[in-house]
Amino acid sequence: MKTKATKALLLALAIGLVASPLAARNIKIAKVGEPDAHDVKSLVASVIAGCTTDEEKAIALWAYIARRPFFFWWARDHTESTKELGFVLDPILRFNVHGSTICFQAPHSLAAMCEEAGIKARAYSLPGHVVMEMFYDGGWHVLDPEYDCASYYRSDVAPYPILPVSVVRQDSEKHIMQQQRPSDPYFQWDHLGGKFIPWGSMQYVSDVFYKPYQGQVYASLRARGHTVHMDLRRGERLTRYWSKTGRFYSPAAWYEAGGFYDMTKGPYDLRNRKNHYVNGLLSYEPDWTAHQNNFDDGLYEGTNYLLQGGKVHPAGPGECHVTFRVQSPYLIVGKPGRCDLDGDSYGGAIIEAEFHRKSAGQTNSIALSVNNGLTWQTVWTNSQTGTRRLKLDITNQVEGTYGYLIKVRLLADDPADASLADLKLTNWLFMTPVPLPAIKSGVNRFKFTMKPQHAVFWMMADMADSSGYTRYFDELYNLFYSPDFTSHLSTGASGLGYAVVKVPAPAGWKINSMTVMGDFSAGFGTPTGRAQILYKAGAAGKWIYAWKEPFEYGTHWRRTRSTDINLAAPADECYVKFTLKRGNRCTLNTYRIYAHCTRPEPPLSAGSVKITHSWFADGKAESKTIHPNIAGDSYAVRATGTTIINRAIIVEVANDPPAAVPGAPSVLPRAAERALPAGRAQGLVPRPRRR
Amino acid sequence: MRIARAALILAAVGLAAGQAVGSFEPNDDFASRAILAPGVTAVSDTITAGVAGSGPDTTLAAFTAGGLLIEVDDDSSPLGDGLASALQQVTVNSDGTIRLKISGYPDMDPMDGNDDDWGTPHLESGPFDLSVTVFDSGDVQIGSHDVSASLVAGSVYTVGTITGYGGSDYFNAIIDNTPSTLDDVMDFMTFTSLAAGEHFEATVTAGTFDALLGRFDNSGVLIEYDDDGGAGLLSNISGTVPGDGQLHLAVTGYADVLFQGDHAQSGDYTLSVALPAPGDANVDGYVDGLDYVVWSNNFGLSDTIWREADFNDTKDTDGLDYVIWSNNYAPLPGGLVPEPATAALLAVGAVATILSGRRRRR
Repeated sequence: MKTKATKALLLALAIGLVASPLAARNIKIAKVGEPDAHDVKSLVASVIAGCTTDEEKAIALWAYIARRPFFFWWARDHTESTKELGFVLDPILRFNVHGSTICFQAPHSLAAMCEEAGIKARAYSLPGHVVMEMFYDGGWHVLDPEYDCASYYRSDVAPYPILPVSVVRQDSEKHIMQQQRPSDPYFQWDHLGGKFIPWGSMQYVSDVFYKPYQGQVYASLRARGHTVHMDLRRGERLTRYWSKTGRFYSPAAWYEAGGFYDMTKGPYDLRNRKNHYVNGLLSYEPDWTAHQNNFDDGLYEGTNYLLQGGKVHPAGPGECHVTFRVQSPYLIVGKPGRCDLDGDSYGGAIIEAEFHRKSAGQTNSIALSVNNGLTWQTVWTNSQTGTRRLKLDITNQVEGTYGYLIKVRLLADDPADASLADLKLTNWLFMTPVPLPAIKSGVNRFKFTMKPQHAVFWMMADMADSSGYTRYFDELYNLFYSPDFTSHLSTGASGLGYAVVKVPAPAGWKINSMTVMGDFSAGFGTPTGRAQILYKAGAAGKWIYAWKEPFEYGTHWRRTRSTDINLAAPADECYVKFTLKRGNRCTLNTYRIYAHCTRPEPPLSAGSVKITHSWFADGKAESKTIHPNIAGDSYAVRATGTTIINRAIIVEVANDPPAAVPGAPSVLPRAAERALPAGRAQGLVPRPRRR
Repeated sequence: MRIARAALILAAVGLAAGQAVGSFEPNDDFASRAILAPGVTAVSDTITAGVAGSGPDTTLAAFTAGGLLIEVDDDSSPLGDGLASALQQVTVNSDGTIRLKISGYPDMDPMDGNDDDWGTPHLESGPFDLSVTVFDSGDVQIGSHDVSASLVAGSVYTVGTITGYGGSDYFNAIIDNTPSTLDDVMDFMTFTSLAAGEHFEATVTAGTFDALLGRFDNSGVLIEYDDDGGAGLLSNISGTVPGDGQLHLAVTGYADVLFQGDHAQSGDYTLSVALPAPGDANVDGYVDGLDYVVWSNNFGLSDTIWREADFNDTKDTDGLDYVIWSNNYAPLPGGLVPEPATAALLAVGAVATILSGRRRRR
């Protein structure tokens, strides 16, 4: 026989199970007059705006890197893993997160920007260095974006075009050491005479990189797709500091002892230690007691649950869980502990909540997924009974990612016997301060935009998972784990193979567009292998080629290509196909898919978004708080003083306040009700299981 | 083909006049922009998302009289959805013939109807237009041939042999793989005969999609763009009308910030260009108390814009802007107070308050 409390919970079930309007909104704050680095299209457009010639565009793109204090650091992005560990090439990741330029990466990031600007680009491998050549005005031109030796070299014959590598190499003394029209910057650290790094010296570059023997041309690796997509939910706050708290990602495989770079300090500038990485804080604290929207806004998916009095309960016997999504445009990091050891990071990702289980017959547990739910790892199971407060550090499970899923299971026959309440998620973030909307002395103008219902989710294969890599593909034809190139997929005997990836939008979402990055390898020299990227909307759709051009400019094994796909109509699911044709070698190393979606949601009310800028003006703490018009707004912040030091920019979305009548069940927006079957809207049928 | 279309459009829009005109496709690039008649200050139109793959992904090859491949192309055509084929400057066969075949990607080896790698029939199907233009060695056009047909999956379309030319002539062959639909991913237009030197507000005032508005110089170079500066997801650009009285504007969809037609937005919009009277901060057609409120809210700020009551483009909202508002005060009859006399008192109070605050901070 059920208790009164149970009956009340069941009543709440009838009312509370009718919607799951997960938040999906792209919040953006850009400083007027400065490059907008939220996505590569905006970045390129804002950088080359006003340029009238291809040379002006080329210089503007180069200068975006060369004139900003990005610094030397081996920004890594593991090409075979879901975690960040290898070499970062995506320009938006580089310039917003890792903030670094090193010669074997910068030309490739710049190449992705050139591709957006319609300028052909290629990498040029010199002895000990890599530079970039851009093609315009009928020829190639070398622009070196490397932090130490940023430069280009003009001819001394009118109209003074920027020279190609082949010409510079013929007389580097003339073209580098005696340059008549030096670029700005031109070896900005040369006055230090190679004090820190020898290749920062003009003479070194002239003598070593351009003189001894001819370099090699190879294709630029065009990886892109990441966006600074701030998808804040009710009760969520993103604080981006201009200071560091000692949190950075440093897996043991990355650690190099005894080098000239002290890796235990995290990324910093060798020449100026004040130039370093910074941290941010993503804090999620929904007030489920105040309003149903505050729960629905953050729920990713769930089954057999009910919400009453600010607590989640199982609705009855059987599987019951609720899943929440953490999504960040920046890298999730903790304090790394010993840099030469894995598994000792801490203080980066914290789950706090109140749990209740009546007796040992009920279950509370938490599982995590860093691959969109393909695999789960249970990280906590409640061993106590009664009501308890949990504070769980999951840094080691999620560091080095841009988000993860948290699944909370509550198993009990009687709803009153298990519950979850007062959820709080804290995630520390790693970023570079360079593109942050900073305050300067005087009037600072900012533009706020928010795109309701805009959401993004990404998929990436963990090809280092030798036993489970197949789970990242919907279909594999004649592709096998390569014995020669481990963690890569190679074609079988026929030399032809393909891999299909299913891109399933979360329930209720619609995919509008995708950026697909495929990372391949092919033989050295003129490539005889070939790879292509195709897509289709829905299982019954027609395959359409998204990228099919042959590999160009041989001499390098790795080939990375990205392609943008706009769907003819919004789709519940898409499929992406990578086809391989082997010559002497052709493998699929990994892929990344960024799907941009729309997702119905209850609209935010006016004033629910709050932005706070804080800074020191001549040593005095100042701040300015704005409640922008959520339909889009611009605002000005005046800062007086001669020395301005930025402290933080905070963006938060408020919890909805309690309903007008205390104790009354919250009322759903009409749009959400209409979207549901009539029976569910009346609470007459149970909530179906969702992905 | 595009030039012809553009010429038609230019002739057509010359007839348009009034406060709003309808669509005039194609005007998807600067060269084919619609030149609006003097007096037209608003345009209501539609854009449709540009999506590669809506037409067949064609391949096009030219052959000798003996059946040998001369040249093959996949996606070079400037027409269609980006997946149509084109051959440029191919020499006519020595027997004076032009022999072409059309198939579907990836049949390029040359043209047996099958996927080159897998040997399976290609999957491309749908209607297409083929335009062949022939030139002599002096680059004078001496003939043209148009074909409208449909490609069938797994099959090859053989164009009837074109004859009658000389071995020193050459031809271009261009496929439009979306012949039934006009390109309408962007709308470029030029507002004309605007009062030079006046402040303008170009605003997407209504729309059913996430618009981007761009402004271009006389060469078609993008000067600036705006995403959501208008209401909701709509756009706004303001500035000063150039000396020739022309404003070159384009509407596209988010996130096509390079104005290349690369977006997934479709819908209707209205683009209006207003030359507000000095003092009309909110661009509602009246210089009234609402504009005074805007002025007072921004008084003392620098780096401001017209909509923040910087009427004299000094990048400051100051007393001179108040004077401009006051001198041009012309409210809607029965509209909102305050009038200038009252407002002057309020302004004095505002100034005193601000100065007081400044002193305290010192």
